[in-house]
Amino acid sequence: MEIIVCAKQIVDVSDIKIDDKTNEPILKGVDDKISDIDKNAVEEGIKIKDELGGNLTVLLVGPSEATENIKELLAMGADRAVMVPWDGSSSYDVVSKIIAGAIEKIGDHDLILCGEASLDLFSGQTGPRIAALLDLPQITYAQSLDAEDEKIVGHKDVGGKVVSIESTYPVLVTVTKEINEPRLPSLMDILGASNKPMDVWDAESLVSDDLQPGLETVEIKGVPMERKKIVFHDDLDESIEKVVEKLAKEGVLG
Amino acid sequence: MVLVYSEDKDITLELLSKGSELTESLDEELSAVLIGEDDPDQYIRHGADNVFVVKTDQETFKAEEYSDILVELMKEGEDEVLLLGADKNGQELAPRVASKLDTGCVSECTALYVENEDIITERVIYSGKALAVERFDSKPAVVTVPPKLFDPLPEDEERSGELIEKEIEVSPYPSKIVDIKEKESVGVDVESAETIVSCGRGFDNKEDIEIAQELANNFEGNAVGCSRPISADLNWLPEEHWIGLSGHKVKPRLYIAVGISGQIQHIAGIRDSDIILAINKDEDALIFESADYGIVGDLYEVLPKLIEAVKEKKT
Amino acid sequence: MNFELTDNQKMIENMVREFAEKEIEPVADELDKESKYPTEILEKMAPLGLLGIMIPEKYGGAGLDAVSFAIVIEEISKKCAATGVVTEVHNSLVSWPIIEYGTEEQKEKYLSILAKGEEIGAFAGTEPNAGSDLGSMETTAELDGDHYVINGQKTFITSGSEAGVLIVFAKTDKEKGHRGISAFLVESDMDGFQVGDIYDKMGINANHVSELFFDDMKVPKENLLGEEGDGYKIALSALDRGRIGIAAQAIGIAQRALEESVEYSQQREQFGRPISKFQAIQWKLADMATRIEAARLLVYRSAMAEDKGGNVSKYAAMAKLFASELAVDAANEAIQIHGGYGYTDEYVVERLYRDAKITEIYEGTSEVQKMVVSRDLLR
Repeated sequence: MEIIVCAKQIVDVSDIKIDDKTNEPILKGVDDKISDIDKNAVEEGIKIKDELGGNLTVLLVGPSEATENIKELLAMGADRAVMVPWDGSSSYDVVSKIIAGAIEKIGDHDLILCGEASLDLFSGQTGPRIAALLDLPQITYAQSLDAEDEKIVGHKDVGGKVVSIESTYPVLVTVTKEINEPRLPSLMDILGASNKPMDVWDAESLVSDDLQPGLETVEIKGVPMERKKIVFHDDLDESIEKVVEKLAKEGVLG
Repeated sequence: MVLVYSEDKDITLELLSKGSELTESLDEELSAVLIGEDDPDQYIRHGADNVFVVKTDQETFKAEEYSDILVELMKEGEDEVLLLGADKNGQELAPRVASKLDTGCVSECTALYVENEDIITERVIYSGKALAVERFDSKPAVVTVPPKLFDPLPEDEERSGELIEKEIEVSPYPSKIVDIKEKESVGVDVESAETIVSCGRGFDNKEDIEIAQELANNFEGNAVGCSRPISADLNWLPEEHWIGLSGHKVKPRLYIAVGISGQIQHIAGIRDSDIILAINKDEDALIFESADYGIVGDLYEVLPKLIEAVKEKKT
Repeated sequence: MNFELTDNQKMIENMVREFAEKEIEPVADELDKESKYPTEILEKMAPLGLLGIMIPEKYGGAGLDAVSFAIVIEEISKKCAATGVVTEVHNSLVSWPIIEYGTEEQKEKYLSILAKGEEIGAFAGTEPNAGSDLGSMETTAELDGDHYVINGQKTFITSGSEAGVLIVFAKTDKEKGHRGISAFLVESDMDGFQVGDIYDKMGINANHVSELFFDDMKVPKENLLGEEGDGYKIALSALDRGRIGIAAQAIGIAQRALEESVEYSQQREQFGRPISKFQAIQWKLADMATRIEAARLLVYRSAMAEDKGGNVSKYAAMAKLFASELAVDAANEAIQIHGGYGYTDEYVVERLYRDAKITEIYEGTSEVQKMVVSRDLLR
């Protein structure tokens, strides 16, 4: 079983503060890390590898300093890492093309695992985009997986129902954080990670297309953490009607 | 053309409402896509200029085949916008379609508008701390829209439009749905709940917590929580429900604090909630300082009415 | 000269931080309130290698440096200082002397048990009448054929009631003062070994600190660590390493006090704004942060003296002196910042305050540290 896990380096969102004056998020000095759910994907990959045998490669497209964080995934149990330094557009269309190109260069792949989404932006686009580019079937938002030699079944929660999807290999699967508890590498694992191979590939060599992003970020502005403090204290029926109206507008009645 | 699709009818109607606003700014037609069996005319009555009625062998939604259908429909390359629902199905469909069309995609937008002929979207990032404003530089603009973000247009019996039947064959993928079953209910997990109704000292006795549960039952992924006294002092609810600094820290989309005074220790546990609604009979209660919306009133009067109002709004 | 941790050290820091957040933080309050020994935490630490940090790989340890050891102790102590000291004693006071002075047989037998966490280690030096002044120790060991017979008592022994492997110091020659002290590897199931009272303490409640009694305890001759009369030297050099760990523990406490204060001061509003907007609070935070950074550099300095060769005694004494006083001050200021709430058990700063004080006392009081430093200056 040849398993590839795609991982992303993100900023630690819980550390982000909003600048009072400019109303922009302050990213300077914020720690970076591997997106948490990607570690669930690595953990699931290790489990499947342990059961069915094979190789696990972690693939990361992102800032060149990310090599530091990839080592953690090697320490967890990946056999090999491929790092594609990329400081260009982080638009999903661009990044997924580079990832797909790297997967093709890696060659054999039975199972491609991704986190359902990255914790910074939480779009969940990368997995399905890679599947589309490689023309693979996709199982998204898997909360549990039953992998066998010839096929894999993923179970996901769709509107209160559990939907089970089966596919032969090759297939792309995205997993949720409920699927497992990622292991912590031991001190010995951490020391051993330095001896595992890490390839660094040039992004331009992987993609023939021009990498024109389909989306441009115009502005990122802070969302005031202040609560709205809209309190209704007159007629009760009227208050309730207004509140329900507000909640519906906030999109939280769903 | 602006195309809207969701396999959820209610979401489709909401998308049509937003879509008709866009078509006005863009001077385009609004089309709904219907895959499978349903009444296409309702979409016309809710704002669609025409409806593509797609006949296919595919029995239920599957992202791979459905995205091929949408791609086939859009192959002329003249479409400006594709709006999809931001439910689980739409979320896996949208990026797949966008990738096949080699275009950009925005997931779960909170706002969508046209500015200088560009399609602009806003969405929440960094766990709700920031808003990203993005501009499409590609066509069509694929956007998923969360349920209930927009209200459907009122039904207009007079409206007419064209039903365009499409027969689209797509080759099946080597994946299939093998089982769909109702989910078993699990123990309370306030930390991953989407909606929490939380009880405080305003409740007179243990049995009344049932009313909070009744309100919670109207929401998916709900849980009943409580403040420290209810769990630690009165033992009305086990510790799993206790929210606060020493209890659980929660981050639901909606937190409803009922009869909770709002001590800082409790607030520390609910800071990351998206929206906080507080119900308290004391209008000076601290909780209103930390809430987005508040209702001043006796919870025994407020809750039954609120339950009715929520039920009504959701149907 | 380099102030950056290596990639591996950073990874170790991340790993232990995550471990402590997941496995220690949720139970720390309960362990403290109920004075429960952190048995389950230690069981989870063992497979991660955290009970054999400096033990060579051939005995099942990680074979890491003292800087990594300090990192581990700081991160654990941030969430539970009691678990921090248990880990510190096991890794430094007990494992280190065996690594340094043990015979191959002793290493194979005891280091592998300690590295795997099959037994926790304790260091039995202090006696009712021999604290800072080890030379006045009264416990005796007499050679009788192939055994030593040990009689006496020890007190204030970290993990004393829980440990399976102990280094016990006893006089093999009563006439020679501290030169008559020898060190023995003792197993808690040896005949004549008895645990006395477990103390009710002010803080670090999860660490069980007890009295030990030895009543004609027979210890095989081959369990003598080093030579007869090496005990004092072994104890002092072990305490040098231990002090690096206690300093790291103190920094863990101080760092937590700072983090809690930063968070609370931004949330707590008085006079219509967060108290973090008041200069009185800002200065406290700035002072704390500055001293923590200085203390950490001093700890790394002493750990590097250990790793790269240097005057470990002096730097470890300086680090422990500075860091332990900082821990007490930082916890004190943290309570001040938290106001009345900080004085209740609702906030962790109350526990930090109780836990901090002992760092100025055990493994050599601040006064002893000053003696060590000044002795180096005035020799």
